[in-house]
Amino acid sequence: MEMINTIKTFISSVNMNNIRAALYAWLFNFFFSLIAYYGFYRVFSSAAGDSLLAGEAGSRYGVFNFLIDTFYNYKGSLPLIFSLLFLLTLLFALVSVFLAGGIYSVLIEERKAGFSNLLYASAESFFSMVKLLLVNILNWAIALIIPVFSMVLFWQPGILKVNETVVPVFFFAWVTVSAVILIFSTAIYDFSRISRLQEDKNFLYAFKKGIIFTFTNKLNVLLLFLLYGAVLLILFLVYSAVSGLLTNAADTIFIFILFQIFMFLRYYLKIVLMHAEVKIAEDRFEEE
Amino acid sequence: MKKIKILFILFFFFILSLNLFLQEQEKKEEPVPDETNEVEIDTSQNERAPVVKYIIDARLFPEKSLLEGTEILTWVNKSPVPVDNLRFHLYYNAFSSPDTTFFREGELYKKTEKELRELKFGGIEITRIRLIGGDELTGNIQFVSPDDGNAADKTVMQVNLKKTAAPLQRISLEIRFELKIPDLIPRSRTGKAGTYFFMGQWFPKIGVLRQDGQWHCHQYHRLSEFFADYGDYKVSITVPKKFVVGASGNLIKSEKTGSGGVTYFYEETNIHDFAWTAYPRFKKILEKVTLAGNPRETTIELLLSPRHGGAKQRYIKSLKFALDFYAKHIFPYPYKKITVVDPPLKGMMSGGMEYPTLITLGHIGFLPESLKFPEQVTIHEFSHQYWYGIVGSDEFREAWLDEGVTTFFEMEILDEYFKNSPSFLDSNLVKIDYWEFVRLRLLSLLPVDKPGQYSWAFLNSSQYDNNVYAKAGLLLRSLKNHIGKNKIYDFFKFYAEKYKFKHPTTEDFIETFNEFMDEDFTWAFEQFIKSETGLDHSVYSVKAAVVPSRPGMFRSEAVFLRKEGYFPVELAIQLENGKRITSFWKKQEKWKRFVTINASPVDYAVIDPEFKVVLDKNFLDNSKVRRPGRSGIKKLAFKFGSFFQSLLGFLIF
Repeated sequence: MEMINTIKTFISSVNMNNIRAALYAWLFNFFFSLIAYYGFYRVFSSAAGDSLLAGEAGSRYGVFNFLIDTFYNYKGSLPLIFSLLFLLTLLFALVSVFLAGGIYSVLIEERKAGFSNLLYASAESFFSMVKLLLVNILNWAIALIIPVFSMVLFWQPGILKVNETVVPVFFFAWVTVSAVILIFSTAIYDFSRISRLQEDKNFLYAFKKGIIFTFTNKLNVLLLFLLYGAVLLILFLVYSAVSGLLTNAADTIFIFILFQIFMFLRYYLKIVLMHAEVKIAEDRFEEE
Repeated sequence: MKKIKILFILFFFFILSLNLFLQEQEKKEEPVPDETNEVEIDTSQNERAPVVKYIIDARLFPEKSLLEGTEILTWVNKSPVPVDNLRFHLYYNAFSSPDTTFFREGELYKKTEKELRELKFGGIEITRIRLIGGDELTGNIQFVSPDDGNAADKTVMQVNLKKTAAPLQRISLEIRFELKIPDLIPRSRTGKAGTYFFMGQWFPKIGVLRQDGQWHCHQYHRLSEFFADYGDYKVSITVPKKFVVGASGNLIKSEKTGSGGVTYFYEETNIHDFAWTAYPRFKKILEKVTLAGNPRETTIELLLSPRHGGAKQRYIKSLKFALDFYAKHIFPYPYKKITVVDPPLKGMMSGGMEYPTLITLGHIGFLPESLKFPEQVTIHEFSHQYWYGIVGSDEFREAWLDEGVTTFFEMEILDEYFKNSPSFLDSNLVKIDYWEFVRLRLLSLLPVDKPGQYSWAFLNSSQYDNNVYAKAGLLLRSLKNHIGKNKIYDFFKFYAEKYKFKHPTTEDFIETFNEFMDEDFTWAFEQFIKSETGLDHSVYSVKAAVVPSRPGMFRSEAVFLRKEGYFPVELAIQLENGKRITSFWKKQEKWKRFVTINASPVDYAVIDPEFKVVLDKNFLDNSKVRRPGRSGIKKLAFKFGSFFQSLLGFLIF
């Protein structure tokens, strides 16, 4: 029965208000990515110069040849683009923390996800969200121990001495265990933020609450994330199938638009998940 | 009359002595070494006989990682010089201590103390060596290190003879030896991993005596392969009965031994090495094929490791394709059988290697279909049956002659095999043909080594691989595109026929190439094989201007450069009205100005528009457009930008 309720909660979180929040999230992602798009364009463009290949890259002698010629003959611009991408990633991570605090706030307070509401709520919750992010480093560090160490141990020289049957079994087990660990560590982070915003207590309390809540509601948490993952997978498959049909150079703009729709839906789905988390937490925080 | 009588008597004595001589010759034709004769001189027959004949009896003791062997070697001095010593390769001694040349070149300093402690050493010990029917030579053994003077390296054994071996003299030796079998390690290619044994370079192998009487017998180097004389091999291998065995040559019979073992008897003629493998978990698969031009069937013997079922058809199908390709373009595979060894993952270090009539491949149980590694390695190693096996070039000194030619044919066969799909990687993110992958290796070359140098003299393993495989292979591909596919295939057919079971050198190759093409191509080999030179073409400028004295006419100009190296190449100027003006730039000069006056201005200029000269290090500067488009760049930037955007998406909250 509980499981059905969880599914119902997830479905009921699909609503218009979340579309608005997803739109802002996607816009932030798009803005940051535009810088990367432009960076790649500049690198390839300066490598190709006035070459005929600038107009035909990939179609005439293969993307791979284009890339290796760029990499080996125009190394100068590559450190620049990689530094840029690294910086963008760091900044975007901070923006994500900022925005997530705002989105959780409006979801908890059941306010409209308008621009000013989001901005205000994000600014208000930002520092406590950063503190929780830092506290959760402990959570992620512990979560990483099993996948990282098992992988390191597996790749010792001794790997070739084990029975070959073990290799695919190990990888299957590794992926499964890592996915479960990823789900629970993410859930701890999410529920600790919800607790912090809902109950307005200190961040250590919130962190503890997040851990306790996650592990007392293991199956519901797992189900919620699996639902999210399954819908995401379907979306990805649909996008891949449709974009695969568009192979002409002229279709690039359509593929670009399609990709942005996919990215938007990805954000929407994440906010649906966040909303469902908030609803479950509201029902059960008090019980505990 | 008196004169006639004298002549008659002389003639009678001549016939009599001739008859006695021939009778004496017949007596000496016994193939089995005669215990009563110390040495024998048999010039007429020895001239025709193979240089070496090996009869080897080997017994494997897997639990102890030991092998005991007895070798009867019959060797003919085919040089015009008498020799007072013999040299042998004892390759297994490369694994006998961390001070051997093999280990020193293997950058042992990178290993941790723990890893060094865990190294399982091996080695070969000669327990007895004697001339059959003659001298005991065990006391005459000494070790020499002709390449680096490393006293700790015992991979070359010199045996001093008590009497010199005259030209065309045949001598027979009995050698008893014991092998301590090491674990397989990178580049060792021989040894064991659990119950899997791969035995390459395992028996005392005599070096090659050159015509000047000097031994060609190099030490075991990390970056070198092998070289030996052609000969006849009879090898019997005794293993516990649970083992499945595969070997060079043809299985003649097998017999059970009293001690729960089985002895397998193999024979082959006209080969220059012998390798074998034993593993209880091999599944043996036999298929027969009929090749064009060969009335006899050829047997494919596949030894498949457990969990490699997915590779079975990939191996067999690509091997059959390669067999057909060679039968069609060179000549049919001349041996009765090809053994294909698919090592288990733990024995991977023995994979991807060629031996006469036996190749080792490589597969991992979960390798995706999109990666064409099994086909690539099958076609590469099988190609070595021609370019190493049948045409026996020197892998120590001129590795490009087998690896470069093999890489060339590998690219050709993979192109045909995967006609409609990428021949190396077929993924959504990027598609790669095999020749593109080879070109990647060319681009990372430092101009400090040349393909035609001794294998161990390269700066590092990348320089070795990228020169002898990639640069040499891409030179041949560029020449093919220049000369024409059929003509270059015909050349290789001619070359292979000419040097079948012989040892051609780089000079032989170039001479044959020039002779066959009826044109001097020495420039290509001098630059790209015998020197460090690379190749880079470019378009320096392209411009157009109205001709004031001729209204409506434009003067278009393009300047082409040879920034590095020389290769004849096509030039093209494309006018805005679609007209194309082409020219072939053969003259050896560093730059060329191309001017045309036409009703339409130039749109772009391009050197090598069809990307035929794949040796070129940079295709991006091979063209210039007056008003360049950017659609290709945009598409590429989208691909990478969206990949990054997708990664950012993972950071959502």
